[in-house]
Amino acid sequence: MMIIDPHVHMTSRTTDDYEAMAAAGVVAIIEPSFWLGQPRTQVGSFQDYFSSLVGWEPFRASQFGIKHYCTIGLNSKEANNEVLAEQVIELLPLYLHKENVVAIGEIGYDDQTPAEDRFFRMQLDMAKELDMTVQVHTPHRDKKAGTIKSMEVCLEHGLDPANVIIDHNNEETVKEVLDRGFIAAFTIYPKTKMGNDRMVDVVKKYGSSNIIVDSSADWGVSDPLAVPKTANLMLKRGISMEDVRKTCYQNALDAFSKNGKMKEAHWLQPDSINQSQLFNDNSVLRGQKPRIDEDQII
Amino acid sequence: MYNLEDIQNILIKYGKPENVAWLNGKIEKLAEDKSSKDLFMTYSLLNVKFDATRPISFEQLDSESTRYFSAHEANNLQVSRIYLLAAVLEQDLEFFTPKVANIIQVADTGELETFLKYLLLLPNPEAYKQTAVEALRTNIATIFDAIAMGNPYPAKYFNDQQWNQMFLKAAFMERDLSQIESVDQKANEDLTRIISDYAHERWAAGRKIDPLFWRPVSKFLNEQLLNDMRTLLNSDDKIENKAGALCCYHSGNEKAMSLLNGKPELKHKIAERKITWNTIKQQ
Repeated sequence: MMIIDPHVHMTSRTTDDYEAMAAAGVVAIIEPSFWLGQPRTQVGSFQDYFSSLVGWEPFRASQFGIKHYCTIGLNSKEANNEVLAEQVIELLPLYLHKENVVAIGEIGYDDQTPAEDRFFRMQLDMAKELDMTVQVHTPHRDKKAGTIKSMEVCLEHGLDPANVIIDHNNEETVKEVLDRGFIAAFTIYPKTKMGNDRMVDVVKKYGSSNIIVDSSADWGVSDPLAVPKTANLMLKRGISMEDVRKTCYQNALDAFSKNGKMKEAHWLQPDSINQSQLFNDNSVLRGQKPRIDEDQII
Repeated sequence: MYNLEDIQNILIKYGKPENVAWLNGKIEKLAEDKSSKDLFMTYSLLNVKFDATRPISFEQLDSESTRYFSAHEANNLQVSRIYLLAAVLEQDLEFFTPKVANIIQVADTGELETFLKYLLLLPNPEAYKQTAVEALRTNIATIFDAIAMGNPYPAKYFNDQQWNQMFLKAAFMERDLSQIESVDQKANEDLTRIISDYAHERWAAGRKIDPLFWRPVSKFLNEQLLNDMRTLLNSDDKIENKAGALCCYHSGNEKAMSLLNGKPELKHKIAERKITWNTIKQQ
């Protein structure tokens, strides 16, 4: 089964993760720009980070046969450094049309401060002007109110809810999101928040339309295999193959392919793992083959 | 090689007329406004307006630009990017050079590839030497190939140290060395030493090296290299035999010629041009 993980921060992950993801059926991923665990202090740090999302990281992914896309935006936490945030906003148009950029994201609220609100709205205007998809990060604290506010602000700025993915949903927020016509993404966390089991119940209750599963794996405790694992659990628990395919593949593809950058042909007719593009001695593969199936010693 | 009119003619012939008109309108406006923001936006929108899915099938190769684009299998998007950059640089070289540098600084892989491949089609290409040299450090093969393969830029603008760095890395990365231009002209004594050292390192590890790697040593055959030539001439690998023979034949060195005299058949074939560096890998 082919899997898309539409929210995973591969910059923070190892090549072991890429290998395991490819082996588990992940064919494409989307890496939203976010914060790096501690706040950046210079606009140049953002520039180099964005450049790596449109340069090195897609190349690294390609060596494992995974197609890498990204979303570009100023995350909510770092919107609170307003002087820096203004410079980052100026930088964004230089990246939004790059070859693997599929949306503006992840943007939204963290503590729901006035500064966060200001830069969220600026980026929504940019999305409206450029007719781009938006990937919204919803807050971990005061979640339900923050999620509803995010959607209201999107509508206020004239965005089509079908072109906005509201991420990090749970049982408490999903109905509001679907009722308003937005796309609801669920992050599967290994220990806290939304787990695999709960996700299965959500799909049983709400069906598979406009629902997307992702891992949001990053530098913290998280699971880059969350989507394939959830897909398998869904099948075991009697959810139809069609619903699993929609929530773990097709809906993400439909939602993020609107600007024409993400195409199924990229992995169905892959030149993405074209050996002629790879260095033999000095790539991330270091002369290895990107598979670990046999001869495992532990 | 720079010729703005030729590049424009390619776009007119192979681009969508409404998009070429849009681009020319933007370029005219940039001449008046000199706005870096408008330049960035125009540049960004090119990938919506011009097709990148397949190379242009050129009907005629009637200009130097056409031949170069065709040889590099350029698509419309690539031509449009080069056209825009060249056009604004022609308007005001001083004002737009740093803006173009800025565009390159934030380039994605495909943009950087385009820029490096077609550097010579821009006015004053030497201004981007730093970027070109930086591309030699990449591990992304398409970027390295864009500057090193089929590109006259390195031979024209790189100094010996930079050119040697490129040649060695190309061998190290097992790229196709036959695609590097002006190898005979750029050969230098320093490179010769590097080649011999690297070959010995590979041999010690029981590994082979592309016979084309030897090509630059011809004119610099010292005692150590003559030993290397002996190794090549006596190797089990027929292509290595030919490489050694070609180096000796073109060396103008008496000792090398006497080595070659021990392989009369090879010498004969080279004299008849049945063996050349371009055909060395053919049976």
